[in-house]
Amino acid sequence: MDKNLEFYFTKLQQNKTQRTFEQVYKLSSVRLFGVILRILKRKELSEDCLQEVYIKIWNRIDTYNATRANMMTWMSTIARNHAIDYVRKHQLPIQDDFELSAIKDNQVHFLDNLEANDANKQLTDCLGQLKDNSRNVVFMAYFNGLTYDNIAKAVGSPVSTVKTWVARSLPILKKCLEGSHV
Amino acid sequence: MSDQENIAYEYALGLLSKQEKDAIELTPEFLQAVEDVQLKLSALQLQAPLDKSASKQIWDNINQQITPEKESWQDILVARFKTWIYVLPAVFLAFGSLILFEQTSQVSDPYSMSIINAKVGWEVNADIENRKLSIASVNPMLVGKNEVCALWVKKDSVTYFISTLPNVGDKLINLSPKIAKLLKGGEAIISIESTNKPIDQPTRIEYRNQLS
Repeated sequence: MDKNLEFYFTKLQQNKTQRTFEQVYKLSSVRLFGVILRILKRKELSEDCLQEVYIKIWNRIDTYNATRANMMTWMSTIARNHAIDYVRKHQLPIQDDFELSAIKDNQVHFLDNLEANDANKQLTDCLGQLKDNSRNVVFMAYFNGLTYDNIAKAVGSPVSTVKTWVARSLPILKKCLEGSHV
Repeated sequence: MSDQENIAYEYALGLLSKQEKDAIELTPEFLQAVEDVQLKLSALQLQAPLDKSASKQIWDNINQQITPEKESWQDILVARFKTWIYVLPAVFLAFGSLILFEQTSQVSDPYSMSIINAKVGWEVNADIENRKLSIASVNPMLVGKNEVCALWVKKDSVTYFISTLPNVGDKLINLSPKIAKLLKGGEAIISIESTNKPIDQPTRIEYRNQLS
C-alpha cells in the first residue's frame, strides 16, 4: 500500500493534478482520519478537519522533504497539528467529556497493535519501561491533544505532579523513539 | 536530556498551554528540534493506526476546493481512455434497456435550499440530499480579534452548532444526517462568539432566519 502511495505522492510532486491527489487521498485518508479522530473524537468535526488537512497538504506539497521523513509521517504530522489547532482555535468543549477509561482503551489498543507486529517488539518493550502514570500522561497529550492543565484536571492531580511524571518519562520516550527506528 | 530538548519534547507532545508556548523563543534551531520530535512521534502513531473511514463526500468537498496545475497530455489520454472503457458498455446497455422496455424515468433535482443570502455577509446553501453545506464569504461581519461568527440551527427549542463562518473564501461542510434533517423547518442563526471560551451556545445573536 505504501509503495502505491509513494508512487502517487511522487507523481503529485511532479505534476499537481486532482486525479493523482485523489489516489493519494484514497491511500492515506483512513490513517489520517484516525489521527484526527483520536483528538477530536466527534466524526463530523473530524471530517471537517480532515478536509482542511488535505487542502493544507495540497498547498504544501512542494515543501515536503523526503530526506527528513517519509510522506505518511509528514502528512500525519500535519494532520495531528491541525487537529490540535482546530480544537484550540474553536475552543471546542471536547475535552470536557474526556474520560480516563477512554484513554485506557486507547492505550491498550495502541500497545496491542504494536505487539501484533514483531518489528515493533523493541518499541513495545521500551514503552513498557514507562510507569503507568507517566505513560498515561504522554499518551493523553499525544493521542488526545491534552495540555498539562487538561491532564491535571482529568487525573485529579496538581499540575506540578503531572510535570514531574513527564520529566521522568521524557528520557525513556526519547530512548524508545531513537532506538526503534520507527 | 538538555533543558532545550525537554522543552522541544513538551512542545511537540502538545503539553504546553498557549501562554507557555508564547514565552518560548522560537528560534529556527528550536523549531527544527520540535519538528524532528514531531516526525518521530508521528511515525510512532502510524505504527498503531486507528482504522476509521471518513464519509465518501469528503473527497468531493476537497476536490472542489483545490486548484490543479495543468494536467499532462499523458494523464488526459489515460483518463479519456479509461472513460471510454466504462462508457461504451454503459451506452450499449442503456440502448438495450430502451429497446426492451421503452421506458424513461425522470430524475428529480436534489433538494437544496438557501439558508442565508449575501445580505448578511455570507451565502450559505445546503444540499440536503447530499448533506453538503457551502458557505461563501461575500462581505463578512467585522468582529474583534478574539471573536468569530458561528452558524447554528435551532429546532424544537434546541440549538445545534454547525460551523464557524470564514472571513474570506469558501468553506464546504459535510453535514451529519441529524443536522441535515434539522435544516428542514429549523431556524438558521448567526452569532458572534468569543474564541476564548467554548462555543456551546449562541451568545450575541446577529441574524435569524426561519427555514422552510
